[in-house]
Amino acid sequence: MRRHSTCQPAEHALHRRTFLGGLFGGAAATLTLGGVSLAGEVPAASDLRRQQKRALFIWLAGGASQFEMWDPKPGRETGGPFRTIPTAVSGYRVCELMPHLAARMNQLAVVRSLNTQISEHGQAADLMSTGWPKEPALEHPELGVVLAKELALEGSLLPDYVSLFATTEGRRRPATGFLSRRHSPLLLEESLQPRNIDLPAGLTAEQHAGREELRASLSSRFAEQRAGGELVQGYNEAYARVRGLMRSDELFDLAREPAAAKDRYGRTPFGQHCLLARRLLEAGVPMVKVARGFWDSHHDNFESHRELVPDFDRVLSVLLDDLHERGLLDSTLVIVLSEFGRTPKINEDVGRDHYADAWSCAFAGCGIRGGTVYGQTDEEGVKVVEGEATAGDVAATIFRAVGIDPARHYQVGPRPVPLAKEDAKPIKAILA
Amino acid sequence: MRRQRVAGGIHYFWTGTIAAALWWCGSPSWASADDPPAVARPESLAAEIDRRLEAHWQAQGIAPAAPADDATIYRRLMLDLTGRIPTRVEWEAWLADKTPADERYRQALRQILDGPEFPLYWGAVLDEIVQGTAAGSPDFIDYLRRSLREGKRWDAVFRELLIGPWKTDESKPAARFLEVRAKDLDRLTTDTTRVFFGVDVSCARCHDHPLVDDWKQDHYYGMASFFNRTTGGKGNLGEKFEGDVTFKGAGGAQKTAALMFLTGRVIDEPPPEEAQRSKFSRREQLVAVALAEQSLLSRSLVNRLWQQFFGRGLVHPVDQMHSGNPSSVPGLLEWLAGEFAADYDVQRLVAAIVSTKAYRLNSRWDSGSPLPDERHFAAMRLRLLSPRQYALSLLVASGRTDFAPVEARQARAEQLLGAKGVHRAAQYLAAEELAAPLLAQLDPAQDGQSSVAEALYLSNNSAVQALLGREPGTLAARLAETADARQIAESAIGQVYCRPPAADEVERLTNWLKQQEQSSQPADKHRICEQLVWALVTAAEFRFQH
Repeated sequence: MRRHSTCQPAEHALHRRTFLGGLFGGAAATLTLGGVSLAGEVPAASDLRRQQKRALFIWLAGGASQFEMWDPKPGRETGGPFRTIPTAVSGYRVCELMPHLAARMNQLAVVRSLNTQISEHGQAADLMSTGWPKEPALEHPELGVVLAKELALEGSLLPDYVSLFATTEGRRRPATGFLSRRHSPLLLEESLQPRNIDLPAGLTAEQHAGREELRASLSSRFAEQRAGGELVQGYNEAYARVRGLMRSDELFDLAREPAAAKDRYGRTPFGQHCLLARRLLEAGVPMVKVARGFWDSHHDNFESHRELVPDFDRVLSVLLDDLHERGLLDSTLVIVLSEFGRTPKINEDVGRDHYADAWSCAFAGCGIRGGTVYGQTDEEGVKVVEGEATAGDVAATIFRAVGIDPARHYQVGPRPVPLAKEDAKPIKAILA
Repeated sequence: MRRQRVAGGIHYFWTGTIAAALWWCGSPSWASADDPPAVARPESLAAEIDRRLEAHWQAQGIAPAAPADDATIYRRLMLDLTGRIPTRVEWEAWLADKTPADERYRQALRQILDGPEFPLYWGAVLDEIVQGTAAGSPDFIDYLRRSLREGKRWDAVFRELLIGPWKTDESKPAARFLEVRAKDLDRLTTDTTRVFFGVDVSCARCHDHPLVDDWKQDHYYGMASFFNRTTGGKGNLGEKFEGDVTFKGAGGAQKTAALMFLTGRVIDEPPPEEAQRSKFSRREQLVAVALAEQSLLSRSLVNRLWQQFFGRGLVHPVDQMHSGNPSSVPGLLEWLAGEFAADYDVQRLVAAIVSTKAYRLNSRWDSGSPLPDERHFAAMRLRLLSPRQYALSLLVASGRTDFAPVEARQARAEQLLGAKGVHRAAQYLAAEELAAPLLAQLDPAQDGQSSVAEALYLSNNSAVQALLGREPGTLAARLAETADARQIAESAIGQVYCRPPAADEVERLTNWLKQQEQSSQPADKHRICEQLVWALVTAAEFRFQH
């Protein structure tokens, strides 16, 4: 069993610097820009970066079936047609649709005992993606938004959070909730290139920089001795990040990946999105989310999972291998989560409906004890019989895995709001 | 008992309406013995606000900022009352006017409040206050605009939102507040108490409020009881005559909620048969009791409007009014709310607040002493413009919309038809259409924080570059036709910042223009002028209210 007791990959720092140098060095040489220069910043920040933690949030939108993935019930009435296969963890078997992950189970931790009660898409997605039940007067931020805020590096010119989705079903923008909108993710919606990062037509980089320099100096002068002048500082910082993002267009350009890499991830949207996610994590983006839709299998559950699960199995396996190979897995928490699972009962359309009483999620990487299988459901997969865990527990586990105290709180007006709900407990058994 | 309470509410509404129709014209003819008592004029309310603030500052040992200069004041007033910066013609006329300062301000204020743009802009402002995340319905905004234009009172608006009647095309949109919330009792309860009463009781849903002694579960479920019989949704709102709210109280015992207002006042209810016969409406009871116990309804709106003009409520946050979170200027909110409740006239309240000296203080703090905390309102703190303010102002500054004065023939036509302001209203609506695509891209003003998404959008989006571009009539095009760099700088500052330029900044801009011209061969003067306009409209002086 492979164990990760630390989140400080030494081999990573060197690699990252090389990457950034290759990516930005040439561009910086041709631009004469005032202020912070990315190329100059890397050595100074490298100590911090060496300890940088990251998270990848894979969201299986619509509700993936635990029976056809992590918690099969072969031979039972609820089990469905698929067989099970052994995994690298002795005694633990998964659905035959996941052969690649089965072989890598020593890197994964599976929680089979979620009981989250809410089985309506919108409310359940709010619950699972924030770790909090919906409150009318307080909108909680999505987990990725909190992670991005907490894992962000001071002075980074890269985005703190990039959110991609593959299908219409995943089209829920991560809510910043009571946190400032400045923590909004960079959304990749219509294309894999962020919007508004190309030079406007008819303008050279020097001209673009020249007008920004004037804008910044007028703003700073205006802010001197003003009540609320610190707001201008934040305003200028937002503009200061524009240049960094414009120079990161290569980062989002999958054409720069070798054809072999693209083939390994598969030429599916989900595969290409995960390849891009790896590029972003590698470059130092602390938080990336990839949403993959079409899991809501009220009809023909087995046909749709026969298509979806092998794609997921292959892509996640390649991604884990890549992260491991690059020395990034120890510092990158991978989260696989849905809004709920699917019913034990197979309905008359050979589908499975929404089910939140007993279902599964999985983790890998930073802070996770690979090869652990936590919790248990009964023989039919109807009830949790051991290790029941809530949405809050999942959130607390995620925070703890990357070294953030889940009991830390944000002050929202008069109310101290902890990162994870007051009664939430990290699932210690799966933590390294 | 019940009828009396309802009648009490109606009585308030009518007294308000009559008094309000008259305060502004100041005609002495209405002051006969039978008439309702006079309400204080905005100027005297403003003087009393200032007196209270000065006493507070004295007690705190604070010397406030100096008054802002004339040009700044005018820009501030136009942005806050019409949602846009003044045009060059407008601010130059303001500065050239030789009327004594106080009188000139009074006249300008009156002109703006009586003009068509105030209700158009404030309809949208009130929409955001009332609807929150559900804001943006054009029909609902227009309902609020008409209400403001007609001088409808806040108590009447409150009544129409909660109990209608929603019978005519004009009044139907008022149902929207309930319609979008009717299927969610928690949201309806929470939003109503937050918006109209400045109170957030949602924490008391599961247990007595842990931080606020005032709020018990009984309050939450008492408030929910006013809405639990509300049925239907869009176009078919109704109310049943039976059904109670039950909840699990402390110790797990099941309780039936009393029909109880936030102040603890419990409404007696007739038995079901009697309720059916008399068409007993719980929502009507809420309106009646809220108007009878006026302090919550009036304080909440006064506090929210104060926030609108000063960037922060007297009680802050604005939905946290309770005994543990008093007003930062003792007594001021309570007194001003009492004055407001005399007629619930939003326009009189707005006029009072912006007539204060406090509203006209400088945002610059050049005294040697440290800046006092913002809760003392001793200087005008910078505020990020709302997306609407910023977008409309971008259109004015870039010359895309000029709000040109009405031509003689048009003015005559407006006069003949008794429709003064129609032309200006059409200009405003046209500007609003142009501004619409920008709104979602700009950062909201609430938390004052700036996102890199807005910066990227303004820096690189092709629609924005085109907006500031060189088509005939735009500022960039006009500047490009000017030969002298110094003149270009002066002209640009005037149009964008609504003030005469300072010598050193003209110097700075002139040098920048020359430098740009030298560094790009062949020099494209149009492009350079576009870049100048871009830098000015994205700089902080333009992006912030100050």
